[in-house]
Amino acid sequence: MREPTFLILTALAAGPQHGYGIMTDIAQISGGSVRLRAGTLYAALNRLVVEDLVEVDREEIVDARLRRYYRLTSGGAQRLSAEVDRMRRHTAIAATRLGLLGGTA
Amino acid sequence: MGDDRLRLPRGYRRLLACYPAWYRRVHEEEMLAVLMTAAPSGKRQPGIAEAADLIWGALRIRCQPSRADTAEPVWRDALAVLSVIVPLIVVVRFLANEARFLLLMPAPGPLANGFPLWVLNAAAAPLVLGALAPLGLRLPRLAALAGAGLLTWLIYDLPGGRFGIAVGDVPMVLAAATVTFALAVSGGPRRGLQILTWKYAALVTVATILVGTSVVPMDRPDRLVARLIVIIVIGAGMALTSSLGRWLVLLLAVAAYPVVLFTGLSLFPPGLRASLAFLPLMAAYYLPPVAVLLVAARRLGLRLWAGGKRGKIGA
Repeated sequence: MREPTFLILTALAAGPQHGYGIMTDIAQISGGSVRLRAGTLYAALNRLVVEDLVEVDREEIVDARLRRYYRLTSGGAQRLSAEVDRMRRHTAIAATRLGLLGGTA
Repeated sequence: MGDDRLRLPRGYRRLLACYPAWYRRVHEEEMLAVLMTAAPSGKRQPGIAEAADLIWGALRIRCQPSRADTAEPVWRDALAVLSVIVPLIVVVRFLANEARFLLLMPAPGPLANGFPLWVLNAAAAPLVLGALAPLGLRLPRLAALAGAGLLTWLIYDLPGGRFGIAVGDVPMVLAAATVTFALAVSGGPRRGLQILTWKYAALVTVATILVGTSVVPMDRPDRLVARLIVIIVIGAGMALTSSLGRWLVLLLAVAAYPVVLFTGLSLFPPGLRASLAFLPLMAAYYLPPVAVLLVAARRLGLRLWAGGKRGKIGA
């Protein structure tokens, strides 16, 4: 799973969010190292919607501007969960090996 | 001062125009809202990185498969079918003409003194175009790039070394342009083969053989006219049965337009043909298809210039 995809799913795991909210959330999650722009974000969202991992939650008009909220589908939650498990296994192995080598605890 | 504040959204809308019309109908206002919210106050126009990001996003969305339950626009399907048919027609036409040429030449013929280079030259373009179909089956976007390369080669007329569009190559240029476009924006040969039901396949096979073998106007005019009548009847049949058929006929007509024109011209006596000036002929060759393509592009929302009314929120 690509990093932007993972971060978008993670952002939505907390609850429905709109595009700008997802962007700021991702910046926060990644500690400022990943800055997703609108073009990349919406291309990824489009793919996620097509794959049924994300769906539209609701729409609002705020300050005369259209705001559309997205949320995880159950399929999306499952995919994210599976990816987290996968990464956990890998990081655990890495940490163990580094521990054996006397690296970071 | 107020006009300054409008510059930024206008700049963003110009970039958003790269997105497909169906996508913009749903998402343009939303994306604009996000872009404006993210923009620091006092920002006058989109930055270069932003512009690149939006254009890249537009490209990716154009290349992404759409939902199974969202109807694929018919013109896209028509282009997918064309990405199969047009290479087929070109190859059949090439083989038919070569076979006729080689059969009619008295022995020992052009191959007697070793393989002449001009045969390779003449064969290269049709065979490369023909190869785009099987390549497009696996790697449609790569095939589109190859098609663009072929198109550049044809337009530059590399063998001749001149910069210009060789009049004799007009059908090949349009065929290459059609296939390249089809491979870039449609589902490609895979989707085309999905759609080609036996009914269309039969019609297309017959039309292919007729078009493929009738181009060289060495035929007697009456045989040529008979072929054209059959092709027109087939085209009418396809157009009347479905919207896909109508799109196919339209796009094929655009791509084959010079062939039809050239064939029609060949019915005139030679003296009259020679007196037709070059420029009007070139205009007659290129303007109608280019005009059709521009109108179609405009309708598809590929805005080539800024301005125009935008839909209201919620419309």
